[in-house]
Amino acid sequence: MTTARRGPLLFGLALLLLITVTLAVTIGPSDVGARAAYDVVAGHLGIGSGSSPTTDAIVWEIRLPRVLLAGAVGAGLALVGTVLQATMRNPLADPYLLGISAGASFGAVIVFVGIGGAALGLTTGAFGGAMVAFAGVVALAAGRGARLDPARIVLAGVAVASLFDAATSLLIIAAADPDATRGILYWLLGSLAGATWSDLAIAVPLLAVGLGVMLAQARALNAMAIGDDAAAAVGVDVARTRWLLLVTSALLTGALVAVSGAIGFVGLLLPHATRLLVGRDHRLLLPATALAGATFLIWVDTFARTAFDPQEIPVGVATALIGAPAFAYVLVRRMEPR
Amino acid sequence: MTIEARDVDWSAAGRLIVDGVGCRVETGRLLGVIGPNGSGKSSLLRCLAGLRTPDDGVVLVQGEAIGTLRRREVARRLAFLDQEADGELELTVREVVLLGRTPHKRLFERDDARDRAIVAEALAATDLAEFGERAWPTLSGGERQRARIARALAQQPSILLLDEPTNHLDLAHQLQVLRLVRGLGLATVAALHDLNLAAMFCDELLVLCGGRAVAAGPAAEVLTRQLVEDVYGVACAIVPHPRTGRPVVTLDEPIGP
Repeated sequence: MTTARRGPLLFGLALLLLITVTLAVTIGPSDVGARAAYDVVAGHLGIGSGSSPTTDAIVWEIRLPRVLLAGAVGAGLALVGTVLQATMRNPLADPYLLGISAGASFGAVIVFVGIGGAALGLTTGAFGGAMVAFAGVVALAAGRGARLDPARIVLAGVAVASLFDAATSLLIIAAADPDATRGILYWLLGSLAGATWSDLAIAVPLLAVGLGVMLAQARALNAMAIGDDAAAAVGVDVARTRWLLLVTSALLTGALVAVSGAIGFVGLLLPHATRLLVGRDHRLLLPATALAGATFLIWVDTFARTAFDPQEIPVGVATALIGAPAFAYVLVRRMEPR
Repeated sequence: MTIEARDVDWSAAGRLIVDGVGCRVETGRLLGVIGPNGSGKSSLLRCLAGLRTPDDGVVLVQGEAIGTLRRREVARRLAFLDQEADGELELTVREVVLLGRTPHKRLFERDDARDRAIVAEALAATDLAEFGERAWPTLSGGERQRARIARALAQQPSILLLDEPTNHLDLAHQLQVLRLVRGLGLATVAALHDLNLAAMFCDELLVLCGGRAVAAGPAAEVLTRQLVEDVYGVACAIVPHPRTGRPVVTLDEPIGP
């Protein structure tokens, strides 16, 4: 059973992630070896002599924050996708089901075209937009007695996302500024370029809290697979659990989208792929998807920033380029008779 | 342990589905709920399980109103089996049965040897000892039903509520399941379609029609020709079983051209 495989599997995935981070930091236009990269990190942690200022700047200011942010965003989106697929009992659920990306894009565009003024940063604007959209979805979906019906949430999410997408397009066209349009387009597709330590200071604590909340509900997530009434019959407070997980997912997704844009496909593909690998017990599946999501997005972002050097492609385009065929493969595997 | 409903009303979309029904079951007793389709059997069971809140009236578990208990506490005392809805689960039988341990585990607590032993026992009691690693979709309807009963057993409840537990089962397994349920000696309420099985296994019957309780008591008193005709609109003859003396309902339907 899963209990026996849990330790080795998570250790293996964690090791893979560590190797991934190391390699990703060394890949780029200027040569930095793994050894030099570790020296830089050791220097900043005060346990080593550090490295030359140039190497230090490349590793500590540019590559490491970006690689770590890719990891945090990948882990978070994969987690949220896993949780939403389970709570909604819908294999197509992904982090943007709740109208988050549409709302965040709208908020970001407002800032881009200058309506919000300089006082409102891009991150704040995007997060605010995401929360407004989520509130809209919840208001539409919550029935009498605050029951959250999965089908209503999906429909409300589609309605709210369409509305915000339309408003975003309208604003872009109304702005009619080629530079702004190009900047917005890049942001909408998702980009980890320009990642900073302060982005990480937002993303990592939220990721840790989100993971903790989700892991605490792992048994409840397992039980929700058998239906709301059956889950309630084995002691799960379904309404409360669904609220808790939806709000956690919305806050986490909102924060991730605010620092990286709406990176697609990770939250849809990784849960399915990891489930294929480790099964459906969320006590194992959640940490495994987080590690796999981090590893996946780091590699995809490394591809995005180096493959067409010097031109960088938006990471959202790369996730779809790699993710769509991978998703098709996973679907075919899933449908094979066992 | 007792479970009791007092004057329970429950309505959906403005229609009264359960209309002033009361019942009471103690440890070791099996109450059969019978009645035609749409008579409110499933809804009454859901009210008893605390999954629906009555508009009026109250459900008491050992004297405590079920609405004041947390879901987890309810699930430690009471297991509920609804009619099958979970066809396409991508879980193994053992994983499904293990879900019955949910109310006994704290946050982050792992499954221990005791949980695994309880699950193995539940599988053995339902003739599924060899089925633990089988994928749910590969099971027949009857095997799924037994696995769901195993899940209820893994919950180690004092009260068992069963909505048509013999659905999808062949004759031998119908008897096996009801014998098993009786043998557990819990306070049990089962909605049943088969009047003869109900008469054979239940201590008492509660007859629902249009959401109301139209009769209640021992099978021999409740199951009369008149009642079956009134409630189901079906002509029948009722004879005592040659060996047990329990009532046997035989349909009185003319056959032929």
